[in-house]
Amino acid sequence: MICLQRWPTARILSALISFLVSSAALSFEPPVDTPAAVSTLGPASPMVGIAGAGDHLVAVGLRGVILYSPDDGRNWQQSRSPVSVDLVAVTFPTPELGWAVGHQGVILHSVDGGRSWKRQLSGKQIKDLFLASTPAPQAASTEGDADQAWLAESLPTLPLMDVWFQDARTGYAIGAFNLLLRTDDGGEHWAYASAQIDNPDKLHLYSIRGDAHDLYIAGERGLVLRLDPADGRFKALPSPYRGTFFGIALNKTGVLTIFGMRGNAYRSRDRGQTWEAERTKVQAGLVGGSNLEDGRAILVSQTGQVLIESPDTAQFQNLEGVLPLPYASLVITGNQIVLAGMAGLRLHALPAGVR
Amino acid sequence: MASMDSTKMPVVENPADFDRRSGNTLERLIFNYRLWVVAICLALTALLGWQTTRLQINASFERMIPLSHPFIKNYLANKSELKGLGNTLRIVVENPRGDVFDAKYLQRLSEINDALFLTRGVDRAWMKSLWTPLVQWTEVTEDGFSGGPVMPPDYDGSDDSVQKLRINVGRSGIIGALVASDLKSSMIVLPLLDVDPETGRPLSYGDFSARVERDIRGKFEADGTVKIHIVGFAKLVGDLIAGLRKVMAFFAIAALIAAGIIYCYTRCPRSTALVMLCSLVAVVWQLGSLNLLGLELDPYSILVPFLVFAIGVSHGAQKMNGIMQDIGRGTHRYVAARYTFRRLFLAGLTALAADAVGFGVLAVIDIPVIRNLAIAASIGVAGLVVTNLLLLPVLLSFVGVAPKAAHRALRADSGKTVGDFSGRLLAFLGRFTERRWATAALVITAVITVLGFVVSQKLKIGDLDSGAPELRQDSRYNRDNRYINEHYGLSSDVLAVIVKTDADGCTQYPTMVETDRLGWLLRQTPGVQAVASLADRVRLYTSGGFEGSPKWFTISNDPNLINPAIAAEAALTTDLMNADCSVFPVVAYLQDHKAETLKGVVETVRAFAKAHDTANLKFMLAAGSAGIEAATNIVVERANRQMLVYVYGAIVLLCFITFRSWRAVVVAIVPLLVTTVLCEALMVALGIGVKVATLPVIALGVGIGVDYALYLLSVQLAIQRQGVALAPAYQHALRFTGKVVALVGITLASGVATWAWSPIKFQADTGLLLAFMFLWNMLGALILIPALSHFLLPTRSTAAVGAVS
Repeated sequence: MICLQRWPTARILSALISFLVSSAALSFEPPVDTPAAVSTLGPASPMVGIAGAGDHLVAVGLRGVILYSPDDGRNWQQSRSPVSVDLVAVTFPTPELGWAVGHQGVILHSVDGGRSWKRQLSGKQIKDLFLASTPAPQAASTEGDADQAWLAESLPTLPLMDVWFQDARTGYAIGAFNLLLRTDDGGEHWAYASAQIDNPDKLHLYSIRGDAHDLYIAGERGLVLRLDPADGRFKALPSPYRGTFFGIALNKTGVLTIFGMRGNAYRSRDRGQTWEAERTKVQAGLVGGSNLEDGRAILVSQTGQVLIESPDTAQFQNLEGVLPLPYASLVITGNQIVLAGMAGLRLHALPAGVR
Repeated sequence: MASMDSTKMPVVENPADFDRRSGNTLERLIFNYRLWVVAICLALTALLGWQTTRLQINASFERMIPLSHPFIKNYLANKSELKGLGNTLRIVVENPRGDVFDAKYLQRLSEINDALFLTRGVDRAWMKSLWTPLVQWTEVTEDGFSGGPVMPPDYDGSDDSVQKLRINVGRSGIIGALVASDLKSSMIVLPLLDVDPETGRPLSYGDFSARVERDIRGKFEADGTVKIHIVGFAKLVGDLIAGLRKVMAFFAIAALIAAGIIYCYTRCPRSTALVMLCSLVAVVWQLGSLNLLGLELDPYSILVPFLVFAIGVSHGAQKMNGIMQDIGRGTHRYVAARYTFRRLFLAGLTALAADAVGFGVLAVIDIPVIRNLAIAASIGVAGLVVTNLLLLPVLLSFVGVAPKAAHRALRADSGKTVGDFSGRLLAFLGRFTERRWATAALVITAVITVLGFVVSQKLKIGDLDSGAPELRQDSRYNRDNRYINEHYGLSSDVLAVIVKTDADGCTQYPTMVETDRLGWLLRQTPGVQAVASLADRVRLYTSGGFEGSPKWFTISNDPNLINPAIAAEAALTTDLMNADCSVFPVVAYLQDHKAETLKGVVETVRAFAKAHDTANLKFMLAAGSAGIEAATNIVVERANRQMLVYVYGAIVLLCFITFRSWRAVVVAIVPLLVTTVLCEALMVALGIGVKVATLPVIALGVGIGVDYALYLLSVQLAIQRQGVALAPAYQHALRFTGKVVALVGITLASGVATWAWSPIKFQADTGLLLAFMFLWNMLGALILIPALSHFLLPTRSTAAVGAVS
């Protein structure tokens, strides 16, 4: 009896000790599974991507922060976001339905105009999609197999860089190392679609934009691609530049502007067949862009310039009075722009007559 | 207990008629060997006076720090791994005629930079300015990273190279940090060594500050090419030390006013001079002993010599008054001195012991400067036992008092002057022994005390203003500080969280994510302007590795991206990580170092550490000026209560030993408590926070206040114990010691009140608080002692009050 009584005491003690030890060493909560914390900084939080959602604006940024504004960017509220990884791009094909993408292969989906979000996909699942899409590599026999194995291991870490939906059902997400995902059911199922790109060097894909007729992707080392509807493949276009393109602006008449490192911007009026260099007069990388009502491109640089295309000539004018902060993207609402960047969200009026 | 029975102390006109064997052993030892006493004191004064001339004035950063507080232990344990977070001086060089991109300005900046580089005590490797290679720029090109020192290596003063510098500054991100936001000035950040490499002794901030003032400001500002602004702890202490000459002058003024008032009261130049002399001797002994003990005088304990002097005057005046009254009655000065010694030595000794113990307990506070102050004050008070309780009566027994003064004193004592102001005042105070007046006094006191208590609850710990509250808002230092705050985004109030992990632990994804989370949390904490940590650098380099794309401004969970980022940071001379990347700071730049701000930040970090610390990743408070200040605030807050408990404990005990009556202890202590509460309320009203500089003032005030109660009450009780009713007993006590209590209270208060004009704000504040306490303790003693006595200490019909020795 004595022995029996003593043993449990010791056991309880050791259990208690191990409990104390384990509670002292809490396990790490990975950002991909941890909801974003409330940011008391609100619109001063660092933001990367921004888009319109009907008459709302939605911005996504570092540490999973998502903000939406019902009044053209004057006031912002934080949405519930299920992840705290860095988010980089957002798009709303309809006022209610939206998708946001970010690091570690995260795709978030909203059905209420950006107020709340659910995670549709993460890098671990992309790895599964990849493994399902390709036959299992044979004991690392060839170089290609080793490559495939490396890619499988890396997929949980790879970021998605942009997202675009042509309607509520069909959409694409692109990312590092030629990563392309496609859905035809509003993200219920995503397919690993990297094989459909002419990108043998697995260059990073940075931007995807389309209209009713065409869909373009731009990326690393001057990569520009256009979807060929005949066979569903993205095919390389002649590139005017060997540096990285960060973005695409596509206006309503199909005029295409691609922009990237060191102030480089090029315009094409023939669906990317020929390019015309634009004079931007900036040295910094052009990282975000959009189009005004009249079709002119408007771009932002890493060092805080906002550039508006001249009506006739292939050159850009500096928008005066913009605070030189590191911007990442912009959206146009009426006669003002909302800039997203590392210093948060900023409103800036467009010059009179410019919309 | 000394007896007031005049039959035991008959008038003796001729010392030959006096029984030299009367009195206790100590009295016989002192007064039968008077010359020996004088000779020994003279020798001691000579020795300690010589020591005093060698006393150093300094304050070291580390002595202001609570060394055993966990924050400080964490800091000291990791100090060698954390660069640029210790004691730094910031020197801003302004171009009044343009911006920093001006060859003439840059030339001058270079000269200043070189001069500072060669200044003794500077940690040269970590000095930062436009002219040091530590300040770098990085840029992303098609081919990857490029970068280098902000100052072009081929800078030659040409427009081209100035233009290059302008571009480098633009891409380095130092605007707001090392270059002013308006581009009109740039900063030299000067980390200081703790130890002077030449002398091997702690760096003397007084000397250092004076050198900078002379060799930098004096030399380079003269022709108006540049303006120079300097802030930092070393400069603050240097300015305080430079201001000490003025502080001393104010001490002298206070002493002169005290002498003047005492002379006006006694009209006896001899004894007034002796009281001053003996009190000064005590000060000399105190200062000399400090040097003998290897201690320095720091600006924060500079008021101790004056307090010793003040307490000395209080006791000296009591002795002088007693002797004067006896001489007035016709007793010979030698016998009068012995009588006074007999009557008042014990009360005086108890009071001084209470002071010494009260100051001594300050030593429990774990901040070296307060310990020093405790030691200095205790030594000083111990010295007073000899100089003012022994030496002064002995000296008075030689020189006596002016006969006219003696007769004046006697007239006043015998009550013949009833009708004049002094008599009316005594009669007025006597009324507080009556029920109606006593009740009214106590009710009013209770109301004031409750009100004071309510206000005192708002007492704040730490600095309530930005800048240096020790100095006036319009002082050079605070003007410089404001200039820098207005023109630079990053403040000099820095709180750093120390992140500690295994060697190379910073390359672990969880480590960087947690570091980033803490940084983000801090960024959202009120009062935090900006945060810098290795996590931000990893984001920057990762983005840089992808042509600067903001989409890559991330911490990747791919080790192939974290490792090169850390390697890139390590390639720079960085203060954001140590060599093996096991210790690195999360640096929060704070708007100010107000107590509230610090508290909020500390709580945020504590909560974070509790939730995120693991076995091999710890977030520890704290380094940086504000981190150290936060620890100091925590210690001061605790010490503030602790100290009062100890001081009162010591005083209660000594009062009980003296009076052998709990009721008498209550009567003595209540007025002091009221003063303490009201003094805290006054601090709230004046916007003075409790900090290292002001912490001891209240304790010292209590120590001085108890003297009054002891002198007054011991005389009153002695008479009451002979069966005399309270009212006449109190009247007698008033005439014998009470008048001097009033005199000393007014004397000292008017002396310290002049400090309000001191250029050092800290002295002005202290002066106000002390003046208030001197006066209020005096009023408390004269009004509350009779009022409380009425209820607690009525005279029993027989010798029922026990233990009358």
